[in-house]
Amino acid sequence: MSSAPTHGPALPMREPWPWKQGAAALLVAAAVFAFDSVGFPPGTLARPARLTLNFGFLLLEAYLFGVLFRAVGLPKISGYIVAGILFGPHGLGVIGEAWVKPMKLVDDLALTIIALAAGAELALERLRPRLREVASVLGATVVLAIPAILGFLMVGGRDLFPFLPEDWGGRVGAALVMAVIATGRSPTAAIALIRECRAKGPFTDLSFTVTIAMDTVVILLFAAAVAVAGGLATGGGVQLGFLALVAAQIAASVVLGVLLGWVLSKALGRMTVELPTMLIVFAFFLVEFAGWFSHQFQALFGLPFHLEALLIAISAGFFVRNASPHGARLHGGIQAISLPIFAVFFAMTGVHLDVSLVARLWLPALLFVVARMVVLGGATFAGAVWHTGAPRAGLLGMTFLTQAGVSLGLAQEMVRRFPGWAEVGTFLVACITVNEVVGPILFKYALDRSGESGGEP
Amino acid sequence: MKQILGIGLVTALGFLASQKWFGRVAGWTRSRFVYLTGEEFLLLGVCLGPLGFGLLDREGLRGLEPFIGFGMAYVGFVYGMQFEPGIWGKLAGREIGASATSSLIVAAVVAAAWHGVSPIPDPAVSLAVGAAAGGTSTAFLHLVDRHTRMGRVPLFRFLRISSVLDDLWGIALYAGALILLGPPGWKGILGVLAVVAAVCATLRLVLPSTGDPAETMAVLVGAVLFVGGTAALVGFSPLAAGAATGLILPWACRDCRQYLNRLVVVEQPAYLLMLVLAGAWWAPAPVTAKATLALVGAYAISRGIGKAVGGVAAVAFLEGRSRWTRLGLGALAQSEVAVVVAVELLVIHGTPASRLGATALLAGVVVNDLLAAGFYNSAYGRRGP
Repeated sequence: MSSAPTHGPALPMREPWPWKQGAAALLVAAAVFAFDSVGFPPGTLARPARLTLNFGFLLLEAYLFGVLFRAVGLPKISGYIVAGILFGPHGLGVIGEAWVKPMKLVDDLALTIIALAAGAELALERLRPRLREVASVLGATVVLAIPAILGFLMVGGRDLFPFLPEDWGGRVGAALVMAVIATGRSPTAAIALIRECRAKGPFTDLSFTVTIAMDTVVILLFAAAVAVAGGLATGGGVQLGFLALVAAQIAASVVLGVLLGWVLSKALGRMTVELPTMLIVFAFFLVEFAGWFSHQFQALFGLPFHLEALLIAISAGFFVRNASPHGARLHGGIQAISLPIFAVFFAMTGVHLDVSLVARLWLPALLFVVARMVVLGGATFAGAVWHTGAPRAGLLGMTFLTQAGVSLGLAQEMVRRFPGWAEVGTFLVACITVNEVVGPILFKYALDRSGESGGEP
Repeated sequence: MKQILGIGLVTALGFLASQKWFGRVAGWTRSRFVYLTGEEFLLLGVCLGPLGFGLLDREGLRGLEPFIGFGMAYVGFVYGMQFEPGIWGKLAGREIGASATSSLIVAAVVAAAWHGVSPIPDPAVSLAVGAAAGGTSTAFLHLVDRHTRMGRVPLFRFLRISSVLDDLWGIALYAGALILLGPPGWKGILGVLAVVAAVCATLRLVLPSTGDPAETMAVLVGAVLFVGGTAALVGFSPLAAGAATGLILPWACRDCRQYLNRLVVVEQPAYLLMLVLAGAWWAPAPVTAKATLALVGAYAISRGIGKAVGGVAAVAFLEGRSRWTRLGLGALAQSEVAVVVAVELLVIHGTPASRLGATALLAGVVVNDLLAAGFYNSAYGRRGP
């Protein structure tokens, strides 16, 4: 992502309308509908067979939708997401609710490989000169954006957001947690879009580094907000135990990531095995280990201790990139399999999205999403201009709007810890759904306008 | 921890071993004709599964289930794509006829023998076992060619051509057996055919405009998963559905065959992972070990007889006169396709009869690989290449 920036907006290439891909998307959809409408008695391999069919169908449709979206100037990942929404349980139902959970492992594998790619993009030699810019933008987000969103929610109150708790303490606590979750963003979408746009340059570097760093910061802030909110909601003191636990989880994830990065770098140096295969094995082991460790910790100590697979993979990728000579090989290996991985992962993201929530909560969701855009844009601008070297500060905020898995996970964790705030969780999911769809479009627009799109692949 | 250890072991060992050992076993001169069809990975799966050390069970591998259907269909798809439209023109009608005759004789002998000796006779399984038995390993003959001067012998050249075609007849017969006697029924077959047609049309529309290799692979992998899943869902064969797609595609899209090299790169890990998973899933047939051994013996003997008779018939077809020849014995080594048919019998159909058929086929593949190595060793003694 380094190299000198090219100034001015990239000229969009005029491509012919991909009518063949459109016809193919219809054909594949028609085939699966016709097949399903017959209602065959399932064979003995019904479950794995349906999973195989689902993945194949989703991969084909996601790819085709990606091409169609690119033709109208939208990011391909938006096409993947829309394909997932359209054919998922909340759309046409080709992939029914019952199949979402069994498809999770492949989804997790994809997430881990994308996170590995994100870590491998973070080159220290490029990051060092930008550390002050990154700190400035991050600081502005924490200092300006969180209080601004908190204030907006409190001013709007139960008139605009009727699902907020009735008691004042609970309302402040819920608003605080919502404000923190609202600052979350999606590293997976960032890496996918940067690769898709082949963006390189200081603007891209800054945007990407802040996104990755904020991913860790938002988890810590969430823990702090939950600790404070717990005290406010119950009238007790601040629950520091949870904050300490989350800090320990993050530290353990980073340490494990570095360790696995070391193993991966050794493996990369010695093995002649097909790299994509090795990466899939690595991701599989990481996902299974993280799940197993959490389960064992809970069983032994009665405490939920979640190793963050995303953070582990980012740390591992970062280690290989910066502390071994195999960064380029890792980058190349991930590049070779990135398209099917991105297509499946973002299509699965779409499958998870419940658009009916947006329809039900459209007015408060719209207000909150717009307010978040304005606040994040303003805070990012302030943070960027604070440091005079920040390029195209006005566009930077647009790259921070996409939300995905981490934000959804935090919303679920909030509901788990505060079961009375289930409606708040539903509202957040509706807002994240909108951000998931709108965010990549604005991200791509910002990359194109920055003039850093369209570099060498 | 057991499960994590198992999953880590199964994946890491499988893929590492594939780099080192897959294909020819390096070693002393007499082992130069030993060719492993990948069954070592099936055995690895069995060892790690409930029948072995118990490190893995079906529950622990649930997330990887799609790879089984993918592996089956992928092997078929890559196989089918070898047959570009022009290849049929290059082959002499006699060669095609001789190969078909030989394969059908082997299939008939083995199917009849199997139906006679199996304690759980099932016509569909007997035909499937016979169909799988007809195939010959192209990779093994390539190995022989590399280590000998057999390539100059016209009949050996025919054997190499025939080894490619043999599996085609086998797959067609196996698919026919499933259509007529198996679980999918006509409705299921029509459903699979509709999906195969839609996928071929999609690839025809899309592939020529996919710019980079990653896009091409994404489309091809999606297509194979889709076809394989559909076939497995109705109880048909993902191998046959994949092969049908691979066969049709080069006719629908002349340029599409250029993607074959890219497909081959992914074939090996897909095939191996399928074998390891199938091994871990293996449920033994409800017969005693002695009876199983006897059945494996019956399978190997009947296949040997079938191959010998088939070889004589093939030569008669080629030369227009009957004479004794050891041609059939030179084609004893079994192909990947036989292994995939066995895996399908094991995991898709899963009846006691089909599990028994799968056991005999898989054990028979090992026996036949060793017999084939022994045959060429006896023919060439200790002479080096």
